[in-house]
Amino acid sequence: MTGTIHIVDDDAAFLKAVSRLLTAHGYKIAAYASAEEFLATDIAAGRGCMILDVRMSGISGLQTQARLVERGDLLPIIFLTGHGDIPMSVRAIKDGAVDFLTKPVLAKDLMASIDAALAQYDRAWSQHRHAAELKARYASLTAREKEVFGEIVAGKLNRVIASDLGTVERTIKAHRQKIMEKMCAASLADLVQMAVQLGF
Amino acid sequence: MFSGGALCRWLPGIFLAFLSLAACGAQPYRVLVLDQGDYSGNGQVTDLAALRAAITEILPQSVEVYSEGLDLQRFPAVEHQMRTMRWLREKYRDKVFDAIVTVGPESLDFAIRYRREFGLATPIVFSGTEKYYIGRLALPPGVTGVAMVSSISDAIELARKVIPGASEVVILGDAESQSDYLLDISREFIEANVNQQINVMTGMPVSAVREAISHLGDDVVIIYLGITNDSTGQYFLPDRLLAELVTSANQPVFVTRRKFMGSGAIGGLVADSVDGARELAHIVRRVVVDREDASAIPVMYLDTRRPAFDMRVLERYRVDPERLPAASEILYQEPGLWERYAYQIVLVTAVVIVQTCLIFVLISEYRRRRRAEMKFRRSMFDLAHLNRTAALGELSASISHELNQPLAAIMSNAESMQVMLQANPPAIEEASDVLADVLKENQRASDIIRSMRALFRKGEFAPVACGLDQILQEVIRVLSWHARSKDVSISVEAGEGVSAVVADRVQLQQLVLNLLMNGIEAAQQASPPARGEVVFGYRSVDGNSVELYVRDNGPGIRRELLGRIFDAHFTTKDSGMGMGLAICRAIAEAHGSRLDVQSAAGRGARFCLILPAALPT
Repeated sequence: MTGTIHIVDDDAAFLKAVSRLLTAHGYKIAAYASAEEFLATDIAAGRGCMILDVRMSGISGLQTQARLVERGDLLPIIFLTGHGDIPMSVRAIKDGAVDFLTKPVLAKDLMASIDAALAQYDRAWSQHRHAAELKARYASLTAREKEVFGEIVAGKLNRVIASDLGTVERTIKAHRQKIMEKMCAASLADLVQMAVQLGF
Repeated sequence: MFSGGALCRWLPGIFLAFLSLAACGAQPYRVLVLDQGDYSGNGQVTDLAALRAAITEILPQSVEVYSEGLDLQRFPAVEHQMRTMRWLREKYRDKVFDAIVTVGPESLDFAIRYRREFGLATPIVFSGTEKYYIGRLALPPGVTGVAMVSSISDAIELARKVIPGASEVVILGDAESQSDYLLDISREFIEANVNQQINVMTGMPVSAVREAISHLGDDVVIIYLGITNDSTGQYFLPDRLLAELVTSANQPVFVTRRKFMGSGAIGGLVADSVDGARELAHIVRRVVVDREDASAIPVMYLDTRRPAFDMRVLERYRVDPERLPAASEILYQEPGLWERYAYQIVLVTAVVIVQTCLIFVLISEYRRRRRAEMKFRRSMFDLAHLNRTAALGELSASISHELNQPLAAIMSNAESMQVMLQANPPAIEEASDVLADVLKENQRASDIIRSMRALFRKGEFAPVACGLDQILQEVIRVLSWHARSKDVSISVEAGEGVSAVVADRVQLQQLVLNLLMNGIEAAQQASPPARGEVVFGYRSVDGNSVELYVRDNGPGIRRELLGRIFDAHFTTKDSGMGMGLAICRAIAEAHGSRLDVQSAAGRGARFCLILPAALPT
C-alpha cells in the first residue's frame, strides 16, 4: 500500500505533529505550509491523497479543492479543520471530498479516512484507466468505422446504414466485424455500453 | 548789626506812611511795637503781623507802626538791654511815639524799665502776656493792655480727663521767664491736688529731657509749654523742638498754644497767637486817637483758649472721642477712606463681589464638570468592560480555534509518542523531541489564554509603558482566526525607533482590538479582486509622541456619517450596540489624546491617535 499523503496546513506545529504521527504509522508524507506551495509543486501522478486545512492565509482549502477538480486531479481530499461548520462540510463533500474531520483528530480516525481515500483513489484510478483504454480503442477506428460506430449504437440496421452511407449492406457488415474486434466488444450491448462511457 | 536788608524791609512801610500823611494832611500817629523776639517772629506769643494789621485797620487815621525785635530771650543779659536801648534812643531821636506796644512779658519789662528814654508820659499797651504775670506785677501808671488767661491747672485737668488714670504730669518748659510763674501756679496746684504727682522738667538740658520722656509710665502725661533755651544755653525754636521731643516721648504731649499743634502734640487748651490782636488795637486807638488815660483803661483779660486735638495723635493713643470736652476742635482729621474714596470703594467692592461670585460659580461649575466627567469616564470604563466581554463572545470562535490548534498538535504528538515508545526498540530520542514540541505547544496555548485574560480583565486606569509589539501580538492572538475566517489579512507597519507608548495596557489593547475588529469588518467588504486588508501601524511623530493607526481597504465611511461615527449607539452594522468607537474615543480622551478618522468613500478608512512615547528601557 504505497502512496503519498500530501498534508497542507499553515499551522507549522500541527503540520509537523500530524506528519510525524503519520510517518510513525508508516505513511509516506509530503508536507506543505500553504496551498500555494502545494499547487506550485509539480506532483508526479501517483497513488496518494490530500489532508487539507480549510482556513488558511492565502488560498483556502476549498479553493484548492476547486483548482484540483478543475485540472482533473484524482487526489482524494480529506479536510481537516479546527473549526468547521455544516455548510462548509456539505460543500466540501459535494465537491468530492472523502471526509471532513475536525482537529484534534485521533490517529485511528485519520488513518481510516486515509485508507478510504486511498481506496477511492484506486477506484478512480481504475475508472480513469478503463476510460483511457476505451478512448484509445475508439481512436484506433478509421473515420469510416467511426461513422458506422455511431450508426450502430444509434440502433440502426445494416441495410439502413448502407443506404444512409450510400454503400452496400455487405460492406457495413465487414465494418461492423472490424469495429467489434477493435473495441473488444463481445456483443452489441457491450458496444452500446462503451459508447455511453465514451459519451455518445 | 543794622543791615541793608533790614532797611529795605522797612522802606515800604515808611513810604506808605508818607503817602497817608500827604493824603490826610495831618500829623500821623506813631506807634512803636517792641517785640521780645527777633525779627523773624519766632518765640513771640502774639503774631506781629496780625497785630500790625489790626492797628492799621482799627486806627482811623494814618498810623506809622515801627517794630523792633529785641531778641530778649536769646540775649537776656542786662548789657544787651542797655545796648539795645542806646541804639533805639539814637534811632528814634527825632520821633515822638503816641504809644509803645509791647509783645511778650520781657518786652513789657523792658519798656517799663526804660520808659523814661521814650518820655515818661508815653503810654504803654502790652500784649502777649499772661494774666498771672500781670496779676503779679504792680503796673505803673499809663500802662494797660491785653493779657491772656492761661492756667496750668486747666491744662492738667484736661489732660487727666482725656487720659484717664493719668496720675503724673511732666511739665516741660523754659527754665526762666514766663514759665516760672506758670510753674509757681502749678506748685500751688500740686498743693491743692495732692494725689497728682507733678514732675517739672525745666532747667534741664534738652538731651536729658528727651531721655527722661522716652520711658515714662502709662499713667504719665506730658505738658509742653514751649522751650526756647535750656540750661546749656542752647536756643530752640519751640515748635521745632516739640516735633523732636514728640518722637522721643512714649506718652502723649499736651500743649497750650495753637502754634504747637500739628507737631505731634495730642492737643490741649490752646490759645492762638492772633487772638487778642483786635482787642489790643482797640485799646491803642483809645490811647492814641481818643487820648484816654491809659491808667484809666482796665487791663483786658482774654480767655481765647479752646480745647483742640490732633486726631492723628488721638488715634495713636487710642483716645475715646467721647472723653474729649464738648465743642473740642478736632484738627488734622483725616477724612475717612469711605469719605474720600466712597465711589472707588463701592466700585471695587462691587467688582470684587461680582468676581468672587463668578469665581465661585466657575469653581463649582468646574467641580461639577469634573464630577460628571469622572462619572462619565467610570461608566465609560464599565461600558468598555462590557464591550470587551461582548467582543469575547464575538471572538470566542476565533479564540477557541487558536486554542484548538496547539491542542490538536499536542494530541497528534502524544499519539506519535505512543507509537514511538511501543516500537521495539522504543525510539526514546525521537520521543523526547516530540515531548519538547508538546511543551512548546502547551506554552502556546497558555499564552493565548493569558492574552485573552489580559484583554478582558477589569482594572483601574493606570498608564504604564506598553510595548507596542507585545500589545499587538496579544490582540492578534485572539483575533487572527477571526480575520482569517473573514478572509482579511492583518499586517503591521512598525515605525523606526518606536517601541512603546505610555498608556493603560488593557485600554490600549481594547482600543486596538476594537479598531482592528471594525477594520476587519470593513475590509471584508473590500471590492474584489482586492482582498480585505487591515494595517496596524505606528510611527514616531516628533520624538516624544507616537501616532498609532489602523487602516483598512474597505468601502470607507460616507462623508455625512463621518461626524457621527463616534456617537454612542451609532452603528452601521446589523448587530452591535454601536459602542465600539464611542469607547475608543473615550479611551483616547482618558489618555489626553483624540481619536481621529480620515476616510473617503471607496478608499477605506484610517483611524489614528497620538500617544506619548515611552522612554526606551
